[in-house]
Parts: sequence; C-alpha cells; structure tokens
Amino acid sequence: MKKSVKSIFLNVLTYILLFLFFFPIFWLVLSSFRPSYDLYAYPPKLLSTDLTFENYINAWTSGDFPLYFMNSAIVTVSSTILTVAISMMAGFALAKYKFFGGNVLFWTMLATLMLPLQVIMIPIFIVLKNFHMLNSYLGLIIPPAATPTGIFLVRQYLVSLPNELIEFARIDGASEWRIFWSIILPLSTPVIATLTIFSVMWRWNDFLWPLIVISNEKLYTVQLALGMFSGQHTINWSGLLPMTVLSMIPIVVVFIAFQRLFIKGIYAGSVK
Amino acid sequence: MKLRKFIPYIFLAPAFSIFLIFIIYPGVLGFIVSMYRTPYSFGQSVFVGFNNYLSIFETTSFLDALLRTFLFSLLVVPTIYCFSLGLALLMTSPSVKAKSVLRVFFFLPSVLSGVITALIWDWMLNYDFGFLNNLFTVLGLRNLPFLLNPTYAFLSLVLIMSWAASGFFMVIFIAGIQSIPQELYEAAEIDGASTFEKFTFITLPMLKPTSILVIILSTIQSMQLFDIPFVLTGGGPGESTTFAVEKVYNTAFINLNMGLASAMSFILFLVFLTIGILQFKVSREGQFLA
Repeated sequence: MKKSVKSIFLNVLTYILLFLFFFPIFWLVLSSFRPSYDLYAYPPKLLSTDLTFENYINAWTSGDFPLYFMNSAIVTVSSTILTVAISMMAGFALAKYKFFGGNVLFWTMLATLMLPLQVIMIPIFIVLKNFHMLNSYLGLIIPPAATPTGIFLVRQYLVSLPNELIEFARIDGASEWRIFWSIILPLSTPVIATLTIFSVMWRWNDFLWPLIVISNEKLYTVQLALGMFSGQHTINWSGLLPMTVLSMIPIVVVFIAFQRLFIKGIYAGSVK
Repeated sequence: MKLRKFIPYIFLAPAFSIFLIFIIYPGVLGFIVSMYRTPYSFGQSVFVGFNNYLSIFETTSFLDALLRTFLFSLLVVPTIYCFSLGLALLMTSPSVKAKSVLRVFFFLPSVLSGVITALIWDWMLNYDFGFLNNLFTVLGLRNLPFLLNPTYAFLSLVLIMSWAASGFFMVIFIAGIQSIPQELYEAAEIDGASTFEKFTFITLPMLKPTSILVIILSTIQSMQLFDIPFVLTGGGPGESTTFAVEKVYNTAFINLNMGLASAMSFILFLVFLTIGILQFKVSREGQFLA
C-alpha cells in the first residue's frame, strides 16, 4: 500500500514537471499557428481553435527567410564535413603514432579549450578582417571547424582499436594513407556519427560566431536573423513565431533520430 | 621509410593550422591589442601599456558586469544542480513508467539554441503578449514586468538558463546514478534504511565525482552565457542583465573600443583559466561535449 502511494506520487510529480518543462515549447508551436488577430487580441484569447498556416506561408514567402535557411544549411553541412575530416586525421595521428612533439601537440590542442570564442572574439575579428574573411562563407565555415573536443573524441576512440590491424596492413605493404582510408575510417563509424550530430548541433545553433563574422544581411544564418529581428523595437511576432519553429525542426529531428548517440556522446565525454 | 616520420605531422597539419591561425595567434594578438588604444580600423593605434587595465579598475562598469556574472552563476549553478539531480532521480526510479521516452523530452531543451530559448521565453514572459501575463489578465490579475524590472529580469534568466541546461546535466547524473553498485542499496535495505537515508548516505556521497563535474561545467557554461540575455533582454533593463561577455562585446563592437575590450577579455580569460585548472585538477583529461 505504502509503495503504491509513493509510486503514484512520483509518477504524478514526473508528469507535472514534464508539463512545466514542455509547456513553453508547446505554447510557442501552438501560437505559431494562430492568426495574428488572435495573437494580439485584447482581452487575450488563450483558448482558441482558429489555427492557420498563414503565418508560415507569409514568413516563408515574404522576406529572405529561405535564404537564411540555405545559409545555415550550407554552413552546417560544410563545416561538419570539415570537422569530421580534420578531427579524424588529427585524432588518428595522436592515437596511433609515436612521434617527436606528439605529447606537446596533444596538450596544446587541449589548452586551446581555455580560449573560447567568448574570450578571443576581438582578435578573431581582426584576423578575419585581415584575411578578408568577414562577411563570407569561408569565415563562417573554416575557423570553427577545428574543435579540440572533436579531436579528443576521435583520439579516445582510436586508442582502443588494436594496433595489430595497422601493423599487419603495413607488412602487407599498405601506405599510411591507405591504412587511414580503408582500415581506420570504416572502423570509426560510431565516433564519426557522434561527432557529426554534435557538430551539426553546434553549427546550426551558433549565434556568437555569425554575429561577429557577418554584418551583410544576405549572409545571415537562421539564428543570426532570428536574434537580430527579435532585437528590433516592434517585434513582428506572427512572422517570428513560425520562423522560430522552422529553425528548431532540423535540430529536433536530428536529436530524436539519433538521441542514443547524443547521450552516448555525453557519456563518452564525461565518464572518463 | 624515412617519409613515414613526417606522416603524423601531415595528418595533424589541417587541424593545427586552424588552431594556430584562428585560436592561438588571436589569443596572443588579443593580449597585444589590450595594450593599445585602438580605433576600429586598427590603423593609428597608440601603445598605452597597461592603461586599459587601469581604466577597467577605475571605471567600475566591467567589474560590475563581472560581479553580476558571478552572482548569476552563484544562483544558476545550485538551481541547475537541484533540477538535474531531481530529474535524474526520477528518471532512474523503478516506480516511474516510460522513462526512456520521458528522458528524451526532458533533454530536448538542451539541444535548442540560445536564440530559440530566448524567443520561447520571450513569448512566455513578454509584458504585452507573453503567455503568463495574458493568463494574469484573463484571471483579472496585474501584469508582472518579468523582463522589464531589473530584479525580475535577472531571476527570469536564472530560471531560463536552468531550464535550458538541466536536461544535459540530468544525463550526466543518470550515468552517475547507474554506476552506483546495487549491492549498497540492498545492504542498506537489510539494515532497514529509509529511502531518505539511502539517498543521503549512499546516493549523494557516491555521486560526489559526478556532482563536482556538474558544478564545474555549469559554472563555466553560466559564466560564458551570451546569447540568451543578448536576445531576450539585450542586457537590460539598464545593465541589470549585462554579463561579462556581453560587456566585452558591447565595448568592442558598439563603443568600438577594441583595446579596452581586449583588456576586459584578458581578465575574463584569467577567470576562465582558473576554473579550467580547477576542472583539470578534479578530473584528469577533463574534456566534455557541448
């Protein structure tokens, strides 16, 4: 009897928390389907069954929202490919070779974690300006692609692969590049998958980086556009709500589809 | 055969060129810039030594922002800790049903961007159109200036950041809880321990390493917070939600005082470095995602 009371209490508590946690997201999504005369109604209408796609159609067809979406997609995909490629290569070198300076390079790489963008945004702005990379895709894509976290993740994964695989391949006369390409890469799909979804999340959600690099509206990413438009004095909510929902969709879909990898990635990082 | 000596360097070259050009060099450059009075163009800059640092300590606005950031962390970290540990306990409790689905829902806010988080909460807390104030109006209550009053805005941000981060730390706590040997609980049950006693004498002490990890990570995250207040309150009202990073941003890109802003960055770097060293001491090879 006592046990079942406790069990009911815990379940009820869980669902109350779930409601509180989830309601803000739910309310935003619901509101995005409400016509603007309902959004701005006075006295406010909280319960209304008038739902419409009008806001979505307006948001998508008036203004440059599809362009921002495209910019975000280009940046996210290319930066992620670059991140995976260079992290695999660097992680492979750090895990499977003994070479002069290897340790120093490994620690240097980890030490760069102490220089997050929040601390070096001014000199980065100056460097990008000197390289003419402000207001360009390259400026958005290349610098954030090298992440110590990514390299560390790959290295930890590859260290656990047996060295014999590589030694046998060398005896068979395989070149180092071929070993990387035909042996290491195919065996690395789990770590590549983890790194890919994290990189997609980082790049899609990025705000500070595009804020510093981009001032030309035609190059705005979705996050930058949302952040800038919401800072204006009169916010056009009926336009902003559907854009916010649309900008969540890719990341929510990736998350739901690969949630196991997300959680595994956090474990791999934290429980060591 | 000789060539093989160079192979690892070749594999490392792409990543390290980016580190060198876009992280390490800017790190050094930032310190140099902090010694100059620089106009936006970086053209006719004047060497001023440590004068920028002196002016930070003479005019208090950056120190105020830094202090505000510490206060924010001081409130956010325990809140996140309680939220995420509480959720993790529920999500590992044998009495709760459908846990694997529920976990996904609790984790979801953690994958949303800061901008989206800010907009979601703007739509909840906004004075004119926010859900809560609409609800108050319908119920005949007075509207509350959640984002327009300095104290309310500050506390709102504490809750919003906790909302956004708790799912992530819940996952870390779940891993910690699941690694506690079950025998400890069984032994305690034989000795007649209550649920509360099991929690205080087994769960909490066994979670010490996880707790330290959560506290350090959430401290770092809260001190680096930029996008949520930038979008939600713009640092206002007044400067009540202007935290250190936003202060640096405003000084550099709105007041166009790169030298002064670089000096602020360097002080911020020293603060982060201290926390980083602490983190490293606590967990060897400390390295975490997100």
